[in-house]
Amino acid sequence: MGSDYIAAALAILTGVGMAVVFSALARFVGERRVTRAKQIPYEAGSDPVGSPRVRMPVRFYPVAILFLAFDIEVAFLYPWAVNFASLSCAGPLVKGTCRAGVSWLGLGALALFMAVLLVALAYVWRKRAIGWD
Amino acid sequence: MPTNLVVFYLFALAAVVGAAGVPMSKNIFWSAMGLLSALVGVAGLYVLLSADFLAVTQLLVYIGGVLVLIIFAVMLTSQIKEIEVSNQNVGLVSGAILFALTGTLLCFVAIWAPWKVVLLQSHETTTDIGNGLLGAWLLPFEVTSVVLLATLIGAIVVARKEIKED
Amino acid sequence: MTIAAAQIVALSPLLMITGVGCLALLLDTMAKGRAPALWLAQLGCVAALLAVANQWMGSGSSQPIWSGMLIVDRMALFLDGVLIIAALATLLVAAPFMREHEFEHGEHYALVLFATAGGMTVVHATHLLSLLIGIETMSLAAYLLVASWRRQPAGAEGALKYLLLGAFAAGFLVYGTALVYGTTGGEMSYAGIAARAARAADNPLFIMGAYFLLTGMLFKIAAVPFHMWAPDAYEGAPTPVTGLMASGIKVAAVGGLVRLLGSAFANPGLALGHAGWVRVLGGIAFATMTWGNLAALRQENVKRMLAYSSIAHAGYLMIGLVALGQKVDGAQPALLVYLAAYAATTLGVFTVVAWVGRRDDERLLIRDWAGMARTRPAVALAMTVLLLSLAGVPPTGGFFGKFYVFRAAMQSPDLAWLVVAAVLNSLVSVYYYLRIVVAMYFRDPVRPWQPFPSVGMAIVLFVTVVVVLALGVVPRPVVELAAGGLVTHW
Repeated sequence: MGSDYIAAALAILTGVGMAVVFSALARFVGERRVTRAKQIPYEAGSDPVGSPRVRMPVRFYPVAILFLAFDIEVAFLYPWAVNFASLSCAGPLVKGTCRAGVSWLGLGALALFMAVLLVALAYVWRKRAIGWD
Repeated sequence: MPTNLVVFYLFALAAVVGAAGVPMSKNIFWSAMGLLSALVGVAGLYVLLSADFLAVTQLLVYIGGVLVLIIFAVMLTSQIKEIEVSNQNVGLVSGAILFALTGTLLCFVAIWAPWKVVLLQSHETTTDIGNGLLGAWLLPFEVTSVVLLATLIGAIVVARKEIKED
Repeated sequence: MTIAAAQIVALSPLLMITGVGCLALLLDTMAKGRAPALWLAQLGCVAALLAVANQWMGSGSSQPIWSGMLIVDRMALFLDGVLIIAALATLLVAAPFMREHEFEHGEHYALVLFATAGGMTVVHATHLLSLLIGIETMSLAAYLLVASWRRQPAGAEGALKYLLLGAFAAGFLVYGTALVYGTTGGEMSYAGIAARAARAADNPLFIMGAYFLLTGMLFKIAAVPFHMWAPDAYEGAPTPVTGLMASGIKVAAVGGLVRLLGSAFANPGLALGHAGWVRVLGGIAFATMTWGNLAALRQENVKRMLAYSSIAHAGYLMIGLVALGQKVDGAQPALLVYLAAYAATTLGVFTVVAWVGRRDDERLLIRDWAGMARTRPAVALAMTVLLLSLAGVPPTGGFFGKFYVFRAAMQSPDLAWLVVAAVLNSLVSVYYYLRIVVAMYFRDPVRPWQPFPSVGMAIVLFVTVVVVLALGVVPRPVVELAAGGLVTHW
């Protein structure tokens, strides 16, 4: 095994490597002239007020948890989507085509799964957890 | 040493060092970073074991979700720069005893066990997992949605006061 | 793959509980007030009970269904009944309790039902995967129920400890499942594991997997040394939830253990000497009941005392499990009788604890209970009966539960020491149960009593006391029901 992942490894290496190389080049090769205008966060914007490192409002947290739960749901959808063709066929697929008629089992199984999560969405919605005020 | 083995040890090192960093680091933010390293390392190990779907899920859910949530929690509870020493209770003695015991046990079992060596054939696992989830494991799959529902309720119930004062 | 209608009918109680949980959740967000969701949840419990009864009448299937995931046998249906009744009682008590303590929320009802659905999955499970998912559903709902009492700082602490240690236990379960799966050549169904266990037992990884599974389950029933979370979680939880944890959740976890140890790991030749896990579990049972009782002696807080008492009862229950491992005939029905009696008693006891407190005065210390018999003689009398049942004094259900379990264990000469220890333990436990009785009857009240009226609590208390006494006076019907609930060997 492994050969499939060489490309992925190369892509990751190239991505990380470019970032490292360019940062290093800028630091060691480039010329530096420090002026006040370059030291402030927004060269062309208004002067910042206060520290950017403040505590985040806790409202973000439920949103993040909700994201996570639906993220997991999506992870469960992938294997279903990949198999949708064979799951909605009453018999085994023959050369990628279905000869045995339609089976609603694959769709129904997922519809039930999604229905429970729709309950969750409706609940979250009605409780105004995804609103802002 | 074959390339596979080198890569394996690299990922394993990332996982172990990261995992050790989580409880040992005094700064909670570095603990989160240790967790990142551990999770990435494990994802790499999944790839090496041809568990491609698992590796992607690991990236999607753990690194893209859980870790972000943890860093969020750090940012919500303290100012990111001056994080106080939040991990004072290291419990060195009891931890060391527990570690020595379980470590010895696990190493002993790992050496003693008759491992079966199988040549891995890399193939796409997503299809198999999908067939399993919607075939033989249909029932646990459906119950999983109730687990997720309960999780969502929990997020709302526990965070309620912050959302709506009523 | 096709799904037969019979497969869905077999799941009807589980589907009802889950579906009503979802509907109650939605109804709570739409309707005004909490009452509609509560009524719906209670109706759902009654309907599910009827469905269980229907299954019981027509039950002939003793084969796992849903690709070996679940089994609908008499034992599972018996425990289903106990679990649903526990959920119904919790709902009845929780509503007035939450109103009194002003933290009413409709999610509570849905979570009680989801915890019950998880527990039902556990007692039906014949596959490590369904066991795991059932345990997780049940535990997750339980963590949230503990955490739901936001005003109570102890609730957050208890919930956090429960969550962290529960997650740790889940890790053990998953790791154990993986090891068993790997060493049996890809088996996760109990029947498959049992078939391959003899060969796999040569592999230390398999043994470790089996013990990891056992450890994970022992966390859930709060056996020593995995009990650390229990006192804090029991104390911090809203009292009706404590009742549910001590009754329904413990019953489900023990039921899951009975099935797991009775089928997948029933092979006695598994590791660590000729008796395998039986010997280990015997030691843990001894440690659990002794530690639970000794720690309960020192408690001043009624809820903490009852938490340790519940740990001690986990120890007695494990004697039944050990007897089951020794292949004693009648160990399993005895366990079921014990579970039913224990669940009824616990539900009643925590109803009283929930009922004595007011919003500004929870009355959790034993001395706060002083003089209760004068203002609330009926409740004090009910509490006395229930405490005697916990202690195992005749003529109560608690006595017969213990009697059957101990009698079953006595059939194996190896277990005589365990039974002797358990009887001594029961004697010790009488002391701390009687402390409450003494306070109620023979001490002068420290503060005036201001009971609040509640029909729901009165109903639960009345029914539990009647059940406990009935089990003590005429145990035969339940014993026969339980005897019909033998684990089917397939």
